[in-house]
Amino acid sequence: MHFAPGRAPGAYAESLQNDKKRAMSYLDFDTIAAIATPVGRGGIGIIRVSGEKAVEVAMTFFRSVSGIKRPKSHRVYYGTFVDAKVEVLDEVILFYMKGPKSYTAEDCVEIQSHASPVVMRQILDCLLDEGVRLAEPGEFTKRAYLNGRINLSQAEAVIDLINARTTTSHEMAISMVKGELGQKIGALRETLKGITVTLEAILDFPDDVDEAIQAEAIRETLGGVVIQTLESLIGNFDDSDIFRNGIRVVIAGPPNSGKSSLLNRLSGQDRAIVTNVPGTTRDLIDEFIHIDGIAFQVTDTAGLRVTEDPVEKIGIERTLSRIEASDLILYLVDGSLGLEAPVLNQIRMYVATRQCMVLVNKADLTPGGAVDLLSEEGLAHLTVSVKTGEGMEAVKAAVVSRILERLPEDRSALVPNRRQVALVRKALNNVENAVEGIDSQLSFDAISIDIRSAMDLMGEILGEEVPVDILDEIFSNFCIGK
Amino acid sequence: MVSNTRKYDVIVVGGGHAGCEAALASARMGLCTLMLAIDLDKVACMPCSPSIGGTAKGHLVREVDAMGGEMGKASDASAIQFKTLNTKKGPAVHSTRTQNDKNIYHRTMKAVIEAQEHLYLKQGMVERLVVEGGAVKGVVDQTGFGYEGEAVVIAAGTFLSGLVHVGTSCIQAGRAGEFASNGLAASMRELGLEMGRMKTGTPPRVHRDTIDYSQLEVHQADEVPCFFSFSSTHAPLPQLPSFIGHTTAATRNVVMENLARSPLYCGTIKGVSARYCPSFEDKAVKFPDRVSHQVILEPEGIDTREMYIGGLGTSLPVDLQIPFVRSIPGFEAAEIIRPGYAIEYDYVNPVQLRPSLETRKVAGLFLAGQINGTSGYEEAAAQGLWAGVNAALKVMGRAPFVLDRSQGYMGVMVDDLVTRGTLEPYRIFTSRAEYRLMMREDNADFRLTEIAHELGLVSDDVARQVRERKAAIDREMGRIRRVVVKPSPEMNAYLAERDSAPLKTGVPLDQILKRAKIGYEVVREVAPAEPPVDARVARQVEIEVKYEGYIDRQLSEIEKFKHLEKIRIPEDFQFEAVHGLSNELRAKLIAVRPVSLGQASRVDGITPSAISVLMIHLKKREGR
Repeated sequence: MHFAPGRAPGAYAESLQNDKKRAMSYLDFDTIAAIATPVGRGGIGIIRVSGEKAVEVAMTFFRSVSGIKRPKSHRVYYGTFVDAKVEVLDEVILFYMKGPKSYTAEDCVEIQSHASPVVMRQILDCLLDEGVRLAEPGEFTKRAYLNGRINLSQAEAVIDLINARTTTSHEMAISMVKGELGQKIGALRETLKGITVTLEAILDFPDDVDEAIQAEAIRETLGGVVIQTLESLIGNFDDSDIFRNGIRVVIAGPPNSGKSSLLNRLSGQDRAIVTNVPGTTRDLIDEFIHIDGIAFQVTDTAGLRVTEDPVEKIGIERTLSRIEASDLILYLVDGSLGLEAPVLNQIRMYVATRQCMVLVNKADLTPGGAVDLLSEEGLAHLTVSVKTGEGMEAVKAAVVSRILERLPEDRSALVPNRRQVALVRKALNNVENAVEGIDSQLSFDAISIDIRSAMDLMGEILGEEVPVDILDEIFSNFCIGK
Repeated sequence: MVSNTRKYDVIVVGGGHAGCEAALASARMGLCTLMLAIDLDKVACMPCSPSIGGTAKGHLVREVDAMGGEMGKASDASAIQFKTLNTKKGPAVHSTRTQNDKNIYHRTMKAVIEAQEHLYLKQGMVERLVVEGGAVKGVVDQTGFGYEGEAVVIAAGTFLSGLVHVGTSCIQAGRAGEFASNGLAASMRELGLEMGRMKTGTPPRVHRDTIDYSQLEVHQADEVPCFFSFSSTHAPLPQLPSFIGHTTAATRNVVMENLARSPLYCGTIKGVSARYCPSFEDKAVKFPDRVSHQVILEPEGIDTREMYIGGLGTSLPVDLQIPFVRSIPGFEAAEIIRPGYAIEYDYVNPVQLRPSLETRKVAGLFLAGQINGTSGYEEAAAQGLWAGVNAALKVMGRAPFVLDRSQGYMGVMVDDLVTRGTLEPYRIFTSRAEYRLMMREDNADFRLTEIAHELGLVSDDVARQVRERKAAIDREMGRIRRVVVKPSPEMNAYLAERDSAPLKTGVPLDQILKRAKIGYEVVREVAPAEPPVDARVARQVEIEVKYEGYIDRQLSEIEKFKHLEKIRIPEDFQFEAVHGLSNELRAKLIAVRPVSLGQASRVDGITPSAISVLMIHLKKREGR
């Protein structure tokens, strides 16, 4: 650790020297990251990291196929990106550019993953959890300019970019103030402000404010309602993953039941290859769609059947694991056929253990017994014709109502976004620290640092640029005077 | 002008707390310094409370002392009551406060000034400034006599167009019974400095022998006095108590029934007063639910029978001040010796100053103390030292001396003033400091003495002592980190006595010191330093260990803070031509003309994106 008083001697001389040298550096200390490609479009997504810690943090999660630990500049590495639990998130390509030979002229790492927003967000989250900061809009360009990578005559264009983007992010922040979340954060800030103002009044005005510090009451408030609220906000965020990233819907069923056509029908485009050759879809195909304003990530899967084809086998394994991770299964069977026993068993299992809707396709053809069989088993189902579109609206409506059933509407209002939840986490950390400080009988001149910081974080979430004026608050709450 | 043959390097106008420190600092840096005061019997006088220090103010006094200033020493020499406030609230807010014998304080300070080499003390009232080509050349006194100087520090206190109010009577005066300085105020206005009006006041003084002390609560001094100055070692003066009383509904009624005769409430006084130091009239009106307010009766000195009634500032007419004071239990027979009064005076909006406290308008003209919109002896002294040093550096052609917000309360105060200005009399508070835990009374010398030494303000000897103490702390810190304490029945009994968990394995000594209810005495108990460290070293070690986590955090915050401070905005930067800022923000930046991006970021209303915009412009300029 640094030894505080020791830093002072010579500091003035040092600062004078620095002034002389004019060693002016615009480089910020922190490392920033952001998703650099439009989400949900294109096959490849890029997460860009820039700053001193870019390589170190990226390499925490990157597992190179060649086993390399320290990448060389301007080389491309293939491998996997694992999360903190060392579970593979995706196959990725890592590209390292040592500064100043990079876009920002800082050390830069670009991670190319599949363009799934879920995967890209998870990768970004991992980086943010390691202390990387989410880049402000336009920040890479700003750094590029400040570090001389962009022609100086472009100053005005860069400024316009910063200002334009800032307005948007500012609006985003402001819009949250209105909702229930805003009220909740606002109430938390008031609580923290109340504690701060009282503490500061006691510390700064010992003659006027003769209260003793109510350590136990403060501890109770912080350890009780404050921590609970912060935790519940984080919990809402974690639970609401499906809202933000799209509800994960998997289309499953035996080969050639029309799964790819269903995907195309839902998304309104010919994405999946549709043939009548069973087993055409060997890999997973994702599509992002909106129904009634709710985002869905729909995955078409390989048909589930016993096969000797090694490639198809891999496809089926992936399908099974994707089904495991899904929020909703659309199990599609061919209504012009009957149901084989393994299929029926699988339907029984999914209906019993997971969120699963059974769809009977090919309503336009002569029924082959599947509907009767399902009815006999007491298994609810919808009939559709993916080919003609018959019954599709009913399917969409059923999907939406199934999702809303699971998530009470009022909770969605209390879900912070990523930026906000990062601030909530910091605040929680501060408050827990404060409680620990009180428990170990640290004095309040130190503990107030945490409480004040948590209060400021709440203000930041609310998008308020003017910090709380503690002295104003003290003067309006206490009778101060000699 | 008829002029003195001598040409001074630095002329200090005013002999109050700011003027004294300014003149001493300049002279101690070897510059030929003139100090002009209207009345030499009032040099370093304490016109309001007989007290120095208190929360954050005590920190300023320590900082002035660490910088080689005189306030701490003069206060120690004249203190008739030493008190440390907030002892249970943590090291950052421990604050020293003294009650002082006003006369001894004045005599002590005046003697130091008279004895100071290179310092010329003279009586005279400055009538106008001499300015040529945008730079100050000297001053002319009321009699037309001129003094030439390369730099001028004005520390005029409440004297500029001072107006004393008692009831509906108002008298032109710098303080009760002293001339106001009208010419200098006009001269400054002519120079184009934007001025405002402030109000302050002082309570009545009563005769010591007319108070019934049986109705008051006695407050004694601390048993062990804690000096302000790191170098004070003398025996303290005899310590005197102060007394606490409480106003009644009757006190309030006197005010409320006579607001028409209160200059504050009948519209006579236009100046802005401080919220933290309200007159009793303000308290009665603003806190109507509060029936009783505390008053503190403090002796003004050892030889005088005048007593100061803290908390009873008033500008009511004298005929009302009598029943007003007598409504307090214990004061029924009180004889008022001096009535309380309010005073209005001119101040200069401090955003017109550079961080060195030099006016941007007039080169070589520095302002310090109440003229900058502050209140308080300590705030004045700190600015005086700051301005005196900078006036001297200017004459020497050296770069200005500026402390930032992480180096001391002085830095916080000056930055607040020159960046945000002030609409009410500005007082320092610990809550104004972002890095409070790092800027304690106890480490002021570690923070500042080396800087002062480089400036020539403290002797080699003092600087060496500080360095040695610092080294002793480092050694002791290292040592207790290395010492491993093994579990033993004695050790665990010691811990059990202090509600601390027993040891199961060997633990470094600093980790034990970190625990609640364990102080440095555990080190003396378990593994005493050889030779033993002195009490100040022990205290520092204890603070460093106990607050390690918070200290580390503040250090990393300071590092971030310094980043923007280091990005300088050149003197001739055209804020007017900055594309991409709103007109409102541009106007604010033009008014303040920040010298660094850090300072710019603290200008009222400036957003992070505005800072990005400035950064881009600075880069563009740099590339030309």
